[in-house]
Amino acid sequence: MIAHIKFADNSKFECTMEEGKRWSQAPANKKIKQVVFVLPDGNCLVLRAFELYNLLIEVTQDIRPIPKRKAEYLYAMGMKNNRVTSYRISLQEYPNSRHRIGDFTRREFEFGKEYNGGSVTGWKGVCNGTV
Amino acid sequence: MSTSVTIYVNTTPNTGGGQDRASVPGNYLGLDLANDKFYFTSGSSAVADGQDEPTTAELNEAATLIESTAVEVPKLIALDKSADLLYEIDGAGSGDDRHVICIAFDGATASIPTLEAWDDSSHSTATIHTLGNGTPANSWIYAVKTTDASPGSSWSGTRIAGTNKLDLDTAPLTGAKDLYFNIYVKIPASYSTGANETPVLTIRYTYN
Repeated sequence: MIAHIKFADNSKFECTMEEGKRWSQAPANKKIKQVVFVLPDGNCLVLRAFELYNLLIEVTQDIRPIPKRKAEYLYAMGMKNNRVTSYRISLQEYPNSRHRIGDFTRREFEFGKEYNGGSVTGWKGVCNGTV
Repeated sequence: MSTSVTIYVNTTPNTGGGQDRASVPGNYLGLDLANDKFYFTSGSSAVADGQDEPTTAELNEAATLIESTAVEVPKLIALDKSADLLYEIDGAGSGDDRHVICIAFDGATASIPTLEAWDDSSHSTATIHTLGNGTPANSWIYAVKTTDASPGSSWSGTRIAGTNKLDLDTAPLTGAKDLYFNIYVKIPASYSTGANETPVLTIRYTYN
């Protein structure tokens, strides 16, 4: 399980990568109380008091012999007042990188520019009555 | 299931409208990313369509020579390792060719997928000569998105290296979709350093 959503009506959704339990398949029109993101090292990152929440997995696929597709980062995001707080969690380690698996980097963006200067899909929660 | 990709190359000279993978799947070779590879080369009798995997010496003999004017590397050849067979990708280059390389996504994405070029699979540096020797704008690798339209003749597209990347579509994918791009390498005029380099082309995307 990589994320645990608790809605304002106390219902819950456990997010895994299995069909039917992916983040994109979580209810999209319910106010969220908090989201607990499970980090690769077993610790948890809890986001609450945001209007919208999102979970992304960033993947690379090299066009060359080996390696295989790699999950590079997990992004846990919260949006409030058109500001996105983004936590990028490292899923890979490289010799010339200072980041280790499980390290996270906190950044803030204007809503709509939260990933590579652009927007992402998959936001959950309620924003001024709509999603 | 997570979203994954399969990469196909058009092994025929038919790259215009109606020549997409869904219409003529027999024109496309799926790459085995564990074993297959690309060669940007001038070609030779040994490094040619229908030949077997070339040796290092054969590849060196087929290398593109540095000239006093910028030179586009003439050929892109794909090695099908399992068949020990080379396929020339006729449409690869700066010509008006649309359906050349196909990135087939089997599901939705959360962001626009991108094509990138790096020194290696750590995707952290882009400093080799092919990628502009530390200046991404000087990359020798030119790429253009052709999902929606042909690129036109003598296209220049985007010089990809490091964070200079090519968007493969105009919006995140809402479901399974084939994206297309074309690509070539152009060596600057009178470049002072010869090299045998292996930059890594990478497809990057997100899903949720």
